[in-house]
Amino acid sequence: MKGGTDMTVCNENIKELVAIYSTEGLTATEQNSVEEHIKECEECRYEFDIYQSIEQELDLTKYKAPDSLHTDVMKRLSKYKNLTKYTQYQPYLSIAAAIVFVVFLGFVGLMNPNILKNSSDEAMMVQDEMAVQDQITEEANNEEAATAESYDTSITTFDAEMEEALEDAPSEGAPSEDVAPRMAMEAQTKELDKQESDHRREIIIGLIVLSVFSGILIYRRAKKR
Amino acid sequence: MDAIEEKLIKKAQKGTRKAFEKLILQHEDHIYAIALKVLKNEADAYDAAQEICLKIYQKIDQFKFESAFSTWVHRLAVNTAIDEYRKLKRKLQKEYSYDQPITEDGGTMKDFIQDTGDTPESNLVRQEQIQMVWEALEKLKDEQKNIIIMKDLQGQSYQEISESLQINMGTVKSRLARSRIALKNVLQDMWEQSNV
Repeated sequence: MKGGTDMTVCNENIKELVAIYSTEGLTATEQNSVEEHIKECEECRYEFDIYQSIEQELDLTKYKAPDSLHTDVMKRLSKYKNLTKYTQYQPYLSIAAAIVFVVFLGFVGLMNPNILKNSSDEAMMVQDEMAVQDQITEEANNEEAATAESYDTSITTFDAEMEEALEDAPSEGAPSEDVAPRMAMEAQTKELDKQESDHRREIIIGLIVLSVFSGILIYRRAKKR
Repeated sequence: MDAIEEKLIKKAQKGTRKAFEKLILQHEDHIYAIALKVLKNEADAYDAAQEICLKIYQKIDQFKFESAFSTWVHRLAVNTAIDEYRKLKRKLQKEYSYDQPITEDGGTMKDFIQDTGDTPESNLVRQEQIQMVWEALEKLKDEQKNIIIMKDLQGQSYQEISESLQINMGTVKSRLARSRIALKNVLQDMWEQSNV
């Protein structure tokens, strides 16, 4: 109900006093003003009731947690890892560590000649054979060079001897008896190199798959903590 | 926030469990009381209080010293308790739905002021109304909420609030009054919306 004396006028000022009536903050005069006002003003009486209910609901001072609560909380906390910034990123760090570790192991493995021993041995044998063939060819060339040198010593017998030398030399365009096996060996070496390259690629793919798989496992485990 | 509390928070943020233990000990009564107020059941409140404490532990490094630690704890406690309440309510509704449907109509503000009786339905309505006070509190500005927490929830005197916030008694009084009016208005709005 609005109007009447100053005490019963419904304004912002009296509404504020109604809101804090139950606290110790009002003077005796203010308390009387509120009491007089709510007798007359239905709206403020209604609001007064609301404030009383809110206050009653929000008052937590009379409640005390059971003693066992603290013990139970600390028991449950003991199962937790310490949540520092490091542990927040732990799952990601674990994945990174796993990948680095597996890749490191992979490179160590690739550097180890035993892993590729079979193909390396075969390659070595072919290389040895090629070396022997090279030596034979070199010796033949040396002999030819020595013969040519002796031809140079006599200009007068040059034509005859050249003729003889040309007769001994192989005809141009036709492969010599030494070149055919060498080409076959080169083809074999290329084949072995290709096999070795394929072998390395398989190992690297295997390592990547392994690192991704182990990373996922570690991540899931770290997330569960 | 006093220096000791700040030190404890920083240590707890670095993962020192002892520091967290000292810190949480000061807030356990408040946490349990909120859980009890929202859930209205000692066993549920006990479980919820544990969940709230664990959540504080997990999230403590997110506290940025921008508000009082007690306000931050309070917010986390109310939100967690309300979540727990909703879970229980859904469970309860599922159980009741076999017998009779429960309306979402929350009733009127009068129902909140006057106890509506002891039937399961009216109890549920009243619980809904009570829970809205906590939700309404969370919708206030920090300044308004802080002063209500200090006065109404923690029962601090005007003098204590004045010293803590470093404002004079007259300001405490007027700020508290305006904050309570704001809380009542938010609550009334929520009631109107829930009855549409």
